[in-house]
Amino acid sequence: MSLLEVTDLSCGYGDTRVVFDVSFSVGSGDCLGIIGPNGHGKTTMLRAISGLIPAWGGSVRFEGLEIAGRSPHSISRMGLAHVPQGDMIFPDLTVEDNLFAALHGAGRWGERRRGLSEVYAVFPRLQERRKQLSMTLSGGEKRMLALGRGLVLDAKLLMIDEPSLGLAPRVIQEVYERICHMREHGVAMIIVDESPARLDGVADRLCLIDTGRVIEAGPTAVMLQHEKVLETYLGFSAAESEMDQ
Amino acid sequence: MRSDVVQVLYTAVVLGSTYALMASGLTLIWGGLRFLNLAYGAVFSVGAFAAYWAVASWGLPPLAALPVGFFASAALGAIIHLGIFRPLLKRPDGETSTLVAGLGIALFVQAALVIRFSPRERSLPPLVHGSFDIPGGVVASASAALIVVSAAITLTILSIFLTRSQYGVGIRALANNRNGAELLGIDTGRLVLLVMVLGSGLAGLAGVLLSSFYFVSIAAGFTALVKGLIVTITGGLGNLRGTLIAAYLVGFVESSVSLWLGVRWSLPVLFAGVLILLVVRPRGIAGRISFEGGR
Repeated sequence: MSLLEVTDLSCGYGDTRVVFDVSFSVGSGDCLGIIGPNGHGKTTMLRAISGLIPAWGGSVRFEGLEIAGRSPHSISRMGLAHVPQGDMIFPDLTVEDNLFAALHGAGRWGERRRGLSEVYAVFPRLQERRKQLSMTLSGGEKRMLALGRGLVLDAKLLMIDEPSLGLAPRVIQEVYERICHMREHGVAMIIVDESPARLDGVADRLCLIDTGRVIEAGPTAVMLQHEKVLETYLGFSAAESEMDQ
Repeated sequence: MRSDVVQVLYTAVVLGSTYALMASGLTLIWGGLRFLNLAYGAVFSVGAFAAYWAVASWGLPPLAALPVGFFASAALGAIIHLGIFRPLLKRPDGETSTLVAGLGIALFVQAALVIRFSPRERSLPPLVHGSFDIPGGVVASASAALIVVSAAITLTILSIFLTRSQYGVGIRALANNRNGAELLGIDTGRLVLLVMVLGSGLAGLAGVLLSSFYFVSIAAGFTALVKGLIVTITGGLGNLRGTLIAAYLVGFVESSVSLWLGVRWSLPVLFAGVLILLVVRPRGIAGRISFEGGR
Protein backbone atom coordinates (compact mmCIF):
# COMPACT_ATOMS: atom_id res chain seq x y z
CA MET A 1 0.00 0.00 0.00
CA SER A 2 1.35 3.39 -0.86
CA LEU A 3 1.56 6.16 1.71
CA LEU A 4 -0.43 8.63 -0.35
CA GLU A 5 -2.81 7.59 -3.09
CA VAL A 6 -4.40 10.37 -5.12
CA THR A 7 -7.08 9.18 -7.55
CA ASP A 8 -8.87 11.34 -10.13
CA LEU A 9 -8.51 14.46 -7.98
CA SER A 10 -10.08 17.60 -9.37
CA CYS A 11 -10.36 21.02 -7.75
CA GLY A 12 -10.29 24.73 -8.49
CA TYR A 13 -11.36 28.19 -7.39
CA GLY A 14 -14.83 29.67 -7.75
CA ASP A 15 -16.23 28.31 -11.01
CA THR A 16 -12.84 27.66 -12.54
CA ARG A 17 -11.54 24.12 -12.58
CA VAL A 18 -7.77 24.11 -12.30
CA VAL A 19 -6.92 20.46 -11.67
CA PHE A 20 -8.47 17.72 -13.82
CA ASP A 21 -8.63 14.09 -12.65
CA VAL A 22 -5.06 13.88 -11.42
CA SER A 23 -3.81 10.53 -10.11
CA PHE A 24 -0.46 9.61 -8.58
CA SER A 25 0.92 7.85 -5.54
CA VAL A 26 3.88 8.10 -3.18
CA GLY A 27 5.34 5.23 -1.17
CA SER A 28 6.93 5.51 2.28
CA GLY A 29 10.36 7.08 2.14
CA ASP A 30 9.94 8.01 -1.53
CA CYS A 31 10.48 11.43 -3.02
CA LEU A 32 8.20 12.48 -5.85
CA GLY A 33 9.00 15.61 -7.83
CA ILE A 34 6.09 17.42 -9.43
CA ILE A 35 7.16 19.58 -12.34
CA GLY A 36 5.42 21.71 -14.91
CA PRO A 37 5.05 25.32 -15.99
CA ASN A 38 3.82 27.97 -13.56
CA GLY A 39 0.08 28.49 -13.27
CA HIS A 40 -0.86 24.95 -14.26
CA GLY A 41 -2.37 23.70 -11.01
CA LYS A 42 0.54 22.27 -9.03
CA THR A 43 0.02 24.53 -6.02
CA THR A 44 -3.76 24.22 -6.22
CA MET A 45 -3.42 20.44 -6.15
CA LEU A 46 -1.26 20.50 -3.01
CA ARG A 47 -3.76 22.86 -1.36
CA ALA A 48 -6.56 20.41 -2.05
CA ILE A 49 -4.53 17.48 -0.67
CA SER A 50 -3.73 19.30 2.57
CA GLY A 51 -7.34 20.46 2.96
CA LEU A 52 -6.85 24.21 2.48
CA ILE A 53 -9.36 24.12 -0.38
CA PRO A 54 -12.07 21.52 -0.95
CA ALA A 55 -11.57 18.70 -3.45
CA TRP A 56 -14.31 18.75 -6.10
CA GLY A 57 -13.99 15.11 -6.97
CA GLY A 58 -11.81 12.04 -6.71
CA SER A 59 -10.19 10.62 -3.65
CA VAL A 60 -7.12 11.31 -1.53
CA ARG A 61 -6.04 8.41 0.67
CA PHE A 62 -3.30 8.71 3.24
CA GLU A 63 -2.19 5.43 4.82
CA GLY A 64 -5.37 3.94 3.42
CA LEU A 65 -7.70 6.52 5.01
CA GLU A 66 -9.78 8.92 2.94
CA ILE A 67 -8.71 12.44 3.91
CA ALA A 68 -10.56 14.55 1.34
CA GLY A 69 -12.96 16.80 3.28
CA ARG A 70 -10.98 16.77 6.53
CA SER A 71 -9.69 19.99 8.06
CA PRO A 72 -6.07 21.00 7.39
CA HIS A 73 -5.05 20.62 11.04
CA SER A 74 -6.34 17.07 11.31
CA ILE A 75 -4.58 16.11 8.06
CA SER A 76 -1.37 17.65 9.36
CA ARG A 77 -1.73 15.75 12.62
CA MET A 78 -2.11 12.48 10.70
CA GLY A 79 1.44 12.99 9.43
CA LEU A 80 0.87 14.68 6.07
CA ALA A 81 2.54 18.08 6.31
CA HIS A 82 2.51 20.89 3.76
CA VAL A 83 5.22 23.55 3.50
CA PRO A 84 3.20 26.01 1.44
CA GLN A 85 4.19 28.42 -1.27
CA GLY A 86 5.04 31.75 0.30
CA ASP A 87 6.11 29.96 3.50
CA MET A 88 3.20 31.27 5.67
CA ILE A 89 5.56 31.93 8.54
CA PHE A 90 4.35 34.06 11.46
CA PRO A 91 6.15 37.41 11.00
CA ASP A 92 5.46 38.80 14.49
CA LEU A 93 6.77 35.67 16.20
CA THR A 94 10.39 34.89 16.86
CA VAL A 95 12.06 32.07 14.94
CA GLU A 96 11.82 29.90 18.03
CA ASP A 97 8.12 30.66 18.58
CA ASN A 98 7.44 29.73 14.95
CA LEU A 99 8.96 26.32 15.67
CA PHE A 100 7.14 26.08 19.01
CA ALA A 101 3.86 26.72 17.19
CA ALA A 102 4.55 23.66 15.05
CA LEU A 103 5.33 21.59 18.14
CA HIS A 104 2.07 22.74 19.76
CA GLY A 105 0.22 21.75 16.59
CA ALA A 106 1.88 18.36 16.50
CA GLY A 107 0.97 17.76 20.15
CA ARG A 108 4.66 17.58 21.10
CA TRP A 109 4.88 20.62 23.38
CA GLY A 110 6.32 18.47 26.16
CA GLU A 111 9.39 17.58 24.12
CA ARG A 112 9.91 21.02 22.62
CA ARG A 113 13.56 21.38 23.62
CA ARG A 114 14.47 18.14 21.86
CA GLY A 115 12.33 19.09 18.86
CA LEU A 116 14.23 22.34 18.47
CA SER A 117 17.64 20.70 18.68
CA GLU A 118 16.66 18.34 15.82
CA VAL A 119 15.79 21.34 13.65
CA TYR A 120 18.89 23.29 14.64
CA ALA A 121 21.05 20.31 13.71
CA VAL A 122 19.77 20.58 10.13
CA PHE A 123 19.42 24.39 10.05
CA PRO A 124 22.20 25.91 12.19
CA ARG A 125 21.32 29.36 10.83
CA LEU A 126 17.94 29.20 12.55
CA GLN A 127 19.67 28.61 15.87
CA GLU A 128 21.77 31.75 15.39
CA ARG A 129 18.59 33.71 14.67
CA ARG A 130 16.31 32.00 17.16
CA LYS A 131 15.43 35.12 19.18
CA GLN A 132 14.84 37.33 16.13
CA LEU A 133 11.37 38.18 14.88
CA SER A 134 10.92 36.06 11.79
CA MET A 135 9.93 39.10 9.70
CA THR A 136 13.55 40.23 9.91
CA LEU A 137 14.86 37.08 8.23
CA SER A 138 16.14 37.04 4.66
CA GLY A 139 14.15 35.21 2.00
CA GLY A 140 16.39 32.17 2.21
CA GLU A 141 16.18 32.09 6.01
CA LYS A 142 12.39 32.35 5.88
CA ARG A 143 12.33 29.36 3.53
CA MET A 144 14.55 27.42 5.95
CA LEU A 145 12.25 28.35 8.81
CA ALA A 146 9.26 27.06 6.84
CA LEU A 147 11.16 23.84 6.13
CA GLY A 148 12.26 23.64 9.76
CA ARG A 149 8.63 23.86 10.87
CA GLY A 150 7.83 21.05 8.45
CA LEU A 151 10.65 18.97 9.90
CA VAL A 152 9.56 19.60 13.49
CA LEU A 153 6.11 18.21 12.70
CA ASP A 154 7.79 14.81 12.36
CA ALA A 155 5.54 14.03 9.40
CA LYS A 156 5.52 10.81 7.39
CA LEU A 157 5.06 12.77 4.18
CA LEU A 158 6.16 16.33 3.59
CA MET A 159 4.82 18.30 0.63
CA ILE A 160 7.14 21.19 -0.22
CA ASP A 161 5.80 23.77 -2.64
CA GLU A 162 8.43 25.60 -4.75
CA PRO A 163 11.35 25.57 -2.31
CA SER A 164 13.35 27.65 -4.78
CA LEU A 165 10.76 30.38 -5.38
CA GLY A 166 12.19 33.88 -5.25
CA LEU A 167 15.65 32.84 -4.07
CA ALA A 168 19.09 33.53 -5.52
CA PRO A 169 20.77 30.52 -7.20
CA ARG A 170 23.36 30.08 -4.45
CA VAL A 171 20.60 30.06 -1.81
CA ILE A 172 18.52 27.62 -3.86
CA GLN A 173 21.44 25.23 -3.84
CA GLU A 174 21.71 25.54 -0.06
CA VAL A 175 17.97 24.99 0.41
CA TYR A 176 18.14 21.80 -1.65
CA GLU A 177 21.14 20.61 0.36
CA ARG A 178 19.05 21.07 3.50
CA ILE A 179 16.13 19.21 1.90
CA CYS A 180 18.43 16.27 1.12
CA HIS A 181 19.58 16.43 4.73
CA MET A 182 15.92 16.27 5.86
CA ARG A 183 15.36 13.20 3.70
CA GLU A 184 17.97 11.40 5.77
CA HIS A 185 15.38 11.45 8.57
CA GLY A 186 13.40 9.02 6.42
CA VAL A 187 10.52 11.33 5.62
CA ALA A 188 8.76 10.80 2.27
CA MET A 189 8.42 13.94 0.17
CA ILE A 190 6.55 15.58 -2.62
CA ILE A 191 8.51 18.51 -4.01
CA VAL A 192 6.95 20.90 -6.47
CA ASP A 193 9.40 22.80 -8.62
CA GLU A 194 9.04 24.48 -11.93
CA SER A 195 12.47 23.24 -12.96
CA PRO A 196 13.09 19.47 -13.41
CA ALA A 197 16.87 19.99 -13.35
CA ARG A 198 16.80 21.09 -9.71
CA LEU A 199 15.10 17.83 -8.72
CA ASP A 200 17.82 15.74 -10.37
CA GLY A 201 19.45 13.73 -7.60
CA VAL A 202 16.69 14.68 -5.11
CA ALA A 203 13.51 13.09 -6.43
CA ASP A 204 13.19 9.37 -7.25
CA ARG A 205 10.35 9.97 -9.66
CA LEU A 206 9.02 12.94 -11.56
CA CYS A 207 5.46 13.74 -12.54
CA LEU A 208 4.86 16.34 -15.27
CA ILE A 209 1.72 18.40 -14.89
CA ASP A 210 0.44 20.70 -17.62
CA THR A 211 -2.93 22.50 -17.81
CA GLY A 212 -4.03 20.70 -14.66
CA ARG A 213 -3.43 17.17 -15.99
CA VAL A 214 -0.75 14.57 -15.46
CA ILE A 215 1.05 14.41 -18.81
CA GLU A 216 3.74 11.89 -17.96
CA ALA A 217 5.32 10.26 -14.92
CA GLY A 218 8.34 8.07 -14.41
CA PRO A 219 11.79 7.66 -12.83
CA THR A 220 13.72 10.93 -12.68
CA ALA A 221 16.53 9.85 -15.00
CA VAL A 222 14.06 8.75 -17.68
CA MET A 223 11.85 11.81 -17.29
CA LEU A 224 14.74 14.26 -17.62
CA GLN A 225 15.32 12.93 -21.17
CA HIS A 226 11.64 12.44 -21.96
CA GLU A 227 10.35 14.03 -25.15
CA LYS A 228 7.28 15.52 -23.40
CA VAL A 229 9.43 17.15 -20.72
CA LEU A 230 11.82 18.56 -23.28
CA GLU A 231 8.87 19.81 -25.27
CA THR A 232 7.32 21.53 -22.26
CA TYR A 233 10.54 23.15 -21.15
CA LEU A 234 12.16 23.98 -24.45
CA GLY A 235 8.82 25.33 -25.61
CA PHE A 236 8.64 23.42 -28.90
CA SER A 237 8.66 19.92 -30.27
CA ALA A 238 10.88 18.72 -33.06
CA ALA A 239 7.94 18.88 -35.49
CA GLU A 240 6.94 22.44 -34.50
CA SER A 241 10.47 23.71 -34.80
CA GLU A 242 10.57 22.52 -38.38
CA MET A 243 7.31 24.32 -39.11
CA ASP A 244 8.73 27.52 -37.66
CA GLN A 245 11.60 27.49 -40.13
CA MET B 1 0.42 72.53 44.12
CA ARG B 2 2.39 69.51 45.20
CA SER B 3 -0.72 67.83 46.47
CA ASP B 4 -2.37 68.70 43.13
CA VAL B 5 0.29 66.74 41.30
CA VAL B 6 -0.03 63.80 43.65
CA GLN B 7 -3.82 63.89 43.29
CA VAL B 8 -3.56 63.90 39.49
CA LEU B 9 -1.06 61.04 39.49
CA TYR B 10 -3.15 59.05 41.96
CA THR B 11 -6.29 59.48 39.85
CA ALA B 12 -4.32 58.74 36.70
CA VAL B 13 -3.05 55.45 38.10
CA VAL B 14 -6.50 54.38 39.32
CA LEU B 15 -8.20 55.39 36.04
CA GLY B 16 -5.38 53.85 34.02
CA SER B 17 -5.76 50.55 35.86
CA THR B 18 -9.52 50.76 35.29
CA TYR B 19 -8.99 51.18 31.56
CA ALA B 20 -6.34 48.49 31.44
CA LEU B 21 -8.86 46.09 33.00
CA MET B 22 -11.60 47.21 30.60
CA ALA B 23 -9.27 46.65 27.65
CA SER B 24 -7.75 43.35 28.79
CA GLY B 25 -10.33 41.09 27.16
CA LEU B 26 -10.72 43.33 24.14
CA THR B 27 -7.01 43.38 23.43
CA LEU B 28 -7.12 39.59 23.33
CA ILE B 29 -10.18 39.35 21.06
CA TRP B 30 -9.79 42.38 18.84
CA GLY B 31 -6.04 42.76 19.01
CA GLY B 32 -5.33 39.07 18.84
CA LEU B 33 -7.90 37.86 16.35
CA ARG B 34 -8.60 41.15 14.58
CA PHE B 35 -12.19 40.39 15.33
CA LEU B 36 -14.17 43.40 16.55
CA ASN B 37 -16.71 42.10 19.01
CA LEU B 38 -19.22 44.89 19.68
CA ALA B 39 -21.01 42.68 22.21
CA TYR B 40 -17.97 43.08 24.47
CA GLY B 41 -19.60 45.80 26.60
CA ALA B 42 -22.71 43.69 27.12
CA VAL B 43 -20.59 40.76 28.24
CA PHE B 44 -18.85 43.11 30.69
CA SER B 45 -22.24 44.20 32.13
CA VAL B 46 -23.49 40.64 32.44
CA GLY B 47 -20.45 39.75 34.55
CA ALA B 48 -21.15 42.68 36.85
CA PHE B 49 -24.87 41.94 37.16
CA ALA B 50 -24.32 38.22 37.68
CA ALA B 51 -21.97 39.04 40.54
CA TYR B 52 -24.40 41.58 41.99
CA TRP B 53 -27.24 39.06 41.79
CA ALA B 54 -25.17 36.27 43.36
CA VAL B 55 -24.07 38.47 46.25
CA ALA B 56 -27.50 40.05 46.81
CA SER B 57 -29.64 36.93 46.56
CA TRP B 58 -27.34 34.14 47.77
CA GLY B 59 -25.43 36.22 50.26
CA LEU B 60 -22.09 35.16 48.83
CA PRO B 61 -19.05 36.94 50.29
CA PRO B 62 -18.06 39.82 47.98
CA LEU B 63 -14.76 38.22 46.93
CA ALA B 64 -16.67 35.20 45.61
CA ALA B 65 -18.26 37.64 43.16
CA LEU B 66 -15.03 37.62 41.14
CA PRO B 67 -15.23 34.00 39.92
CA VAL B 68 -19.01 34.35 39.44
CA GLY B 69 -18.49 37.34 37.14
CA PHE B 70 -15.66 35.62 35.27
CA PHE B 71 -17.57 32.40 34.61
CA ALA B 72 -20.91 34.07 33.81
CA SER B 73 -19.27 36.25 31.16
CA ALA B 74 -17.10 33.42 29.85
CA ALA B 75 -20.20 31.25 29.42
CA LEU B 76 -22.04 34.05 27.65
CA GLY B 77 -19.00 34.57 25.41
CA ALA B 78 -19.01 30.88 24.48
CA ILE B 79 -22.74 30.91 23.71
CA ILE B 80 -22.45 34.06 21.57
CA HIS B 81 -19.47 32.69 19.68
CA LEU B 82 -20.82 29.20 19.03
CA GLY B 83 -24.39 30.30 18.42
CA ILE B 84 -23.91 33.47 16.41
CA PHE B 85 -20.40 34.51 15.41
CA ARG B 86 -19.05 31.15 14.28
CA PRO B 87 -21.93 30.36 11.90
CA LEU B 88 -21.75 33.92 10.53
CA LEU B 89 -18.00 33.80 9.99
CA LYS B 90 -18.36 30.69 7.82
CA ARG B 91 -20.27 32.70 5.25
CA PRO B 92 -18.63 34.84 2.62
CA ASP B 93 -18.30 38.41 3.88
CA GLY B 94 -19.29 37.13 7.32
CA GLU B 95 -17.14 39.67 9.11
CA THR B 96 -19.47 42.56 8.31
CA SER B 97 -22.40 40.51 9.56
CA THR B 98 -20.64 39.90 12.87
CA LEU B 99 -20.30 43.66 13.40
CA VAL B 100 -24.06 44.12 13.07
CA ALA B 101 -24.75 40.96 15.05
CA GLY B 102 -22.45 42.18 17.85
CA LEU B 103 -24.33 45.45 18.04
CA GLY B 104 -27.62 43.55 18.05
CA ILE B 105 -26.48 41.31 20.90
CA ALA B 106 -25.35 44.38 22.87
CA LEU B 107 -28.78 46.04 22.51
CA PHE B 108 -30.59 42.80 23.32
CA VAL B 109 -28.55 42.11 26.45
CA GLN B 110 -28.87 45.70 27.59
CA ALA B 111 -32.66 45.58 27.23
CA ALA B 112 -32.81 42.23 29.00
CA LEU B 113 -30.79 43.63 31.91
CA VAL B 114 -33.08 46.66 32.17
CA ILE B 115 -36.14 44.40 32.27
CA ARG B 116 -34.66 42.07 34.85
CA PHE B 117 -32.85 44.57 37.10
CA SER B 118 -34.46 47.98 36.24
CA PRO B 119 -32.29 50.83 35.00
CA ARG B 120 -31.45 51.94 38.55
CA GLU B 121 -27.75 51.91 39.45
CA ARG B 122 -26.82 49.31 42.04
CA SER B 123 -23.82 49.00 44.20
CA LEU B 124 -21.81 45.92 44.87
CA PRO B 125 -20.45 45.82 48.42
CA PRO B 126 -16.78 46.79 48.38
CA LEU B 127 -14.50 43.78 47.98
CA VAL B 128 -12.03 45.23 50.49
CA HIS B 129 -12.36 47.90 53.17
CA GLY B 130 -10.25 50.69 54.58
CA SER B 131 -7.98 53.43 53.33
CA PHE B 132 -4.43 54.63 53.76
CA ASP B 133 -2.48 57.84 53.37
CA ILE B 134 -0.02 58.36 50.60
CA PRO B 135 2.57 61.18 50.77
CA GLY B 136 1.23 64.49 49.49
CA GLY B 137 -1.90 64.53 51.61
CA VAL B 138 -3.95 62.17 49.43
CA VAL B 139 -6.03 59.42 50.96
CA ALA B 140 -6.14 56.23 48.93
CA SER B 141 -8.94 53.75 49.37
CA ALA B 142 -8.26 50.05 49.61
CA SER B 143 -10.77 49.48 46.79
CA ALA B 144 -8.73 51.71 44.50
CA ALA B 145 -5.57 49.85 45.49
CA LEU B 146 -7.32 46.58 44.65
CA ILE B 147 -8.09 47.88 41.15
CA VAL B 148 -4.46 48.83 40.63
CA VAL B 149 -3.14 45.53 41.93
CA SER B 150 -5.64 43.41 40.01
CA ALA B 151 -4.88 45.27 36.77
CA ALA B 152 -1.20 44.54 37.27
CA ILE B 153 -1.85 40.86 38.08
CA THR B 154 -4.36 40.32 35.25
CA LEU B 155 -2.16 41.83 32.56
CA THR B 156 0.96 40.07 33.82
CA ILE B 157 -0.79 36.69 33.74
CA LEU B 158 -2.24 37.46 30.30
CA SER B 159 1.17 38.42 28.99
CA ILE B 160 2.83 35.28 30.36
CA PHE B 161 0.00 33.17 28.95
CA LEU B 162 0.44 34.66 25.48
CA THR B 163 4.21 34.51 25.34
CA ARG B 164 5.07 31.34 27.22
CA SER B 165 2.21 28.85 27.07
CA GLN B 166 1.56 26.55 24.15
CA TYR B 167 -1.93 28.00 23.70
CA GLY B 168 -0.53 31.53 23.72
CA VAL B 169 1.94 30.62 20.98
CA GLY B 170 -0.89 29.01 19.02
CA ILE B 171 -3.10 32.08 19.41
CA ARG B 172 -0.37 34.43 18.21
CA ALA B 173 0.37 32.10 15.32
CA LEU B 174 -3.25 31.99 14.18
CA ALA B 175 -3.50 35.77 14.51
CA ASN B 176 -0.58 36.06 12.06
CA ASN B 177 -1.68 33.51 9.52
CA ARG B 178 -4.63 31.25 10.09
CA ASN B 179 -3.94 28.85 7.21
CA GLY B 180 -0.29 28.67 8.21
CA ALA B 181 -1.36 27.65 11.72
CA GLU B 182 -3.79 25.03 10.39
CA LEU B 183 -1.04 23.48 8.27
CA LEU B 184 1.04 23.05 11.42
CA GLY B 185 -1.75 20.98 12.95
CA ILE B 186 -3.18 23.78 15.10
CA ASP B 187 -6.94 23.49 15.60
CA THR B 188 -7.63 27.17 15.00
CA GLY B 189 -11.40 26.89 15.47
CA ARG B 190 -10.86 25.63 19.01
CA LEU B 191 -8.28 28.32 19.77
CA VAL B 192 -10.61 31.07 18.54
CA LEU B 193 -13.26 29.72 20.90
CA LEU B 194 -10.69 29.74 23.71
CA VAL B 195 -9.87 33.39 22.97
CA MET B 196 -13.55 34.36 22.95
CA VAL B 197 -14.17 32.56 26.25
CA LEU B 198 -11.06 33.96 27.95
CA GLY B 199 -11.61 37.47 26.60
CA SER B 200 -15.23 37.43 27.74
CA GLY B 201 -14.22 36.07 31.13
CA LEU B 202 -11.72 38.91 31.52
CA ALA B 203 -14.47 41.38 30.61
CA GLY B 204 -16.64 39.87 33.35
CA LEU B 205 -13.82 40.02 35.87
CA ALA B 206 -13.24 43.67 35.01
CA GLY B 207 -17.00 44.24 35.28
CA VAL B 208 -17.07 42.93 38.85
CA LEU B 209 -13.92 44.75 39.98
CA LEU B 210 -15.02 48.08 38.57
CA SER B 211 -18.61 47.77 39.78
CA SER B 212 -17.40 47.35 43.32
CA PHE B 213 -15.48 50.60 42.88
CA TYR B 214 -18.00 52.57 40.82
CA PHE B 215 -21.55 51.31 40.28
CA VAL B 216 -23.28 48.35 38.74
CA SER B 217 -24.99 50.11 35.88
CA ILE B 218 -26.31 49.31 32.43
CA ALA B 219 -24.25 52.13 30.92
CA ALA B 220 -20.97 50.83 32.34
CA GLY B 221 -20.75 48.20 29.62
CA PHE B 222 -20.89 50.84 26.94
CA THR B 223 -18.15 52.85 28.66
CA ALA B 224 -16.06 49.71 28.89
CA LEU B 225 -16.46 49.07 25.16
CA VAL B 226 -15.61 52.64 24.15
CA LYS B 227 -12.69 53.07 26.55
CA GLY B 228 -11.49 49.58 25.71
CA LEU B 229 -11.53 50.42 22.00
CA ILE B 230 -9.69 53.70 22.55
CA VAL B 231 -7.01 52.12 24.70
CA THR B 232 -6.57 49.09 22.46
CA ILE B 233 -6.27 51.05 19.25
CA THR B 234 -4.12 53.81 20.77
CA GLY B 235 -1.77 51.25 22.23
CA GLY B 236 -1.38 49.43 18.94
CA LEU B 237 -3.68 46.54 18.20
CA GLY B 238 -2.74 43.33 19.91
CA ASN B 239 0.24 44.74 21.74
CA LEU B 240 -0.11 44.27 25.49
CA ARG B 241 2.66 46.65 26.45
CA GLY B 242 1.22 49.34 24.18
CA THR B 243 -2.24 48.74 25.63
CA LEU B 244 -0.90 49.21 29.13
CA ILE B 245 0.95 52.42 28.25
CA ALA B 246 -2.14 53.74 26.46
CA ALA B 247 -4.38 52.94 29.44
CA TYR B 248 -2.25 54.96 31.84
CA LEU B 249 -1.75 57.76 29.33
CA VAL B 250 -5.52 58.07 28.85
CA GLY B 251 -5.95 58.00 32.64
CA PHE B 252 -3.36 60.74 33.02
CA VAL B 253 -4.88 62.97 30.34
CA GLU B 254 -8.33 62.63 31.88
CA SER B 255 -7.23 63.29 35.44
CA SER B 256 -4.95 66.23 34.66
CA VAL B 257 -7.42 67.90 32.30
CA SER B 258 -10.25 67.45 34.83
CA LEU B 259 -8.22 69.09 37.55
CA TRP B 260 -6.68 71.96 35.64
CA LEU B 261 -9.25 72.72 32.91
CA GLY B 262 -12.39 71.25 34.43
CA VAL B 263 -14.12 67.91 34.05
CA ARG B 264 -16.09 68.94 30.95
CA TRP B 265 -12.83 69.29 29.00
CA SER B 266 -11.49 65.86 29.80
CA LEU B 267 -13.24 63.89 27.04
CA PRO B 268 -12.80 66.48 24.24
CA VAL B 269 -9.09 66.82 24.99
CA LEU B 270 -8.75 63.04 25.19
CA PHE B 271 -10.46 62.39 21.87
CA ALA B 272 -8.51 65.19 20.16
CA GLY B 273 -5.30 63.69 21.52
CA VAL B 274 -6.22 60.21 20.29
CA LEU B 275 -7.10 61.56 16.83
CA ILE B 276 -3.80 63.41 16.55
CA LEU B 277 -1.86 60.37 17.74
CA LEU B 278 -3.54 58.15 15.18
CA VAL B 279 -2.85 60.61 12.36
CA VAL B 280 0.81 60.78 13.35
CA ARG B 281 1.19 57.10 14.24
CA PRO B 282 -1.62 55.14 12.57
CA ARG B 283 -0.47 51.92 14.19
CA GLY B 284 -0.63 53.28 17.70
CA ILE B 285 1.97 53.79 20.40
CA ALA B 286 3.64 50.40 20.14
CA GLY B 287 3.54 50.55 16.35
CA ARG B 288 2.09 47.13 15.91
CA ILE B 289 3.29 45.50 12.76
CA SER B 290 0.59 44.41 10.38
CA PHE B 291 -0.83 40.94 10.39
CA GLU B 292 -0.30 38.95 7.27
CA GLY B 293 -3.62 38.04 5.70
CA GLY B 294 -4.85 34.63 6.78
CA ARG B 295 -5.72 33.53 3.27
